[in-house]
Amino acid sequence: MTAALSALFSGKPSVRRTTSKSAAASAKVDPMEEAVPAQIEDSELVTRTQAGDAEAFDALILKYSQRLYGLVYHMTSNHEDTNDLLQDIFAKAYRSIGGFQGKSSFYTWIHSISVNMTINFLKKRGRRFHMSLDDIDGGVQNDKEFIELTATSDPVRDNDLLELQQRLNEAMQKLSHEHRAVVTMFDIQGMPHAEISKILGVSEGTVRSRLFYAHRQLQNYLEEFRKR
Amino acid sequence: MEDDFKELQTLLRLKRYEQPPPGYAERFLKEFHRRKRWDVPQKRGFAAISEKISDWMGAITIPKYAYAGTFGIFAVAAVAINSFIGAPVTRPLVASSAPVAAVSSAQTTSAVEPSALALNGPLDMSALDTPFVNQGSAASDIRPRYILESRPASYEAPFSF
Repeated sequence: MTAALSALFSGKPSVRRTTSKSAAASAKVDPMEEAVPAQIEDSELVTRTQAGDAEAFDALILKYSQRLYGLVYHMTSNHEDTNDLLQDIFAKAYRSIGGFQGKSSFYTWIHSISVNMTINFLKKRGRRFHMSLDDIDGGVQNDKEFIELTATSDPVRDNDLLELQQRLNEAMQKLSHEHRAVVTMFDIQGMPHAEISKILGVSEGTVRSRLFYAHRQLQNYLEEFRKR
Repeated sequence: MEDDFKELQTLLRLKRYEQPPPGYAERFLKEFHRRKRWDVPQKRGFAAISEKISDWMGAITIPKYAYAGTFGIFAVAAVAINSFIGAPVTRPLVASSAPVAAVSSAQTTSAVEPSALALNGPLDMSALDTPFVNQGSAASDIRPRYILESRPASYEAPFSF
């Protein structure tokens, strides 16, 4: 049953890393594309969960766990914290789903819980953390933007790009929790401004201004790195 | 303006490939069920109540203007209480604009008339119990006289070194 649900909601199969940089981006894998929620399916699953169907909530977990993992991980930069936090997020969602009235989509609701709990966790954690260093996962070699980036007239080798990504991770940690949240949702997860404003409970103008400030901060930090 | 951040946003978009390993969702689900089975019998009593309260508090959205309003009420109350408690207690000073005749020693009675203690007139110390150093009428006219509880303060130090 679990395998069937997983097959139903999983997206495209992961692409193995290729050694050739010149490989055409014939199968561009965008991990975010597979998690676009279907409004009708979510409402049905929520209704069944509220009626006591635990497997319906399992389906929601399988559907959103990967996407929410990305959201939480890019805010915490630590895999262990992300896993524990994600368990707490879904546990809270399961306890609270009885009060979910459907005024917003389940997608917005679960993202709102995730962001709030992550920010609260980060405030408690403070500066006592260590980043989980990760190589960029397989699939990036076939990404069109990655190919363009490495084929520019100012060549950026793989090692430089990896180091640049690590510096970017460090720069992300220097942002405030709220600014990091909007950068994660907009730039990394590709959410529109309207959706982010609903999740955070702020106006679209606030989202845009936070994004601008965060981009400027990140840009300045990376410029300092490049000048070295 | 967004063009200035184009390269930065490209780098940020590449971070979406930082994904958990394959099969993570299934393992996560198993862990979720395991924790649910373990948490239900463990969280009883105060822990369960505390968790429900924290969930309820998290569900409450307090508008930001409520904080300003609460602070304003608190500030007004603090000022009001401070002005009520901190009001100085003013004791009535015995003062009279009309000249007061000195009370002769022959007419001294056990009770001292308040007019004898007036600030603007000569003070007959014979009617008073406490000693008073008389340095002359002129000096006594310009010397300040402090009346505390119907008795002038003594210029002599109560103790000497």
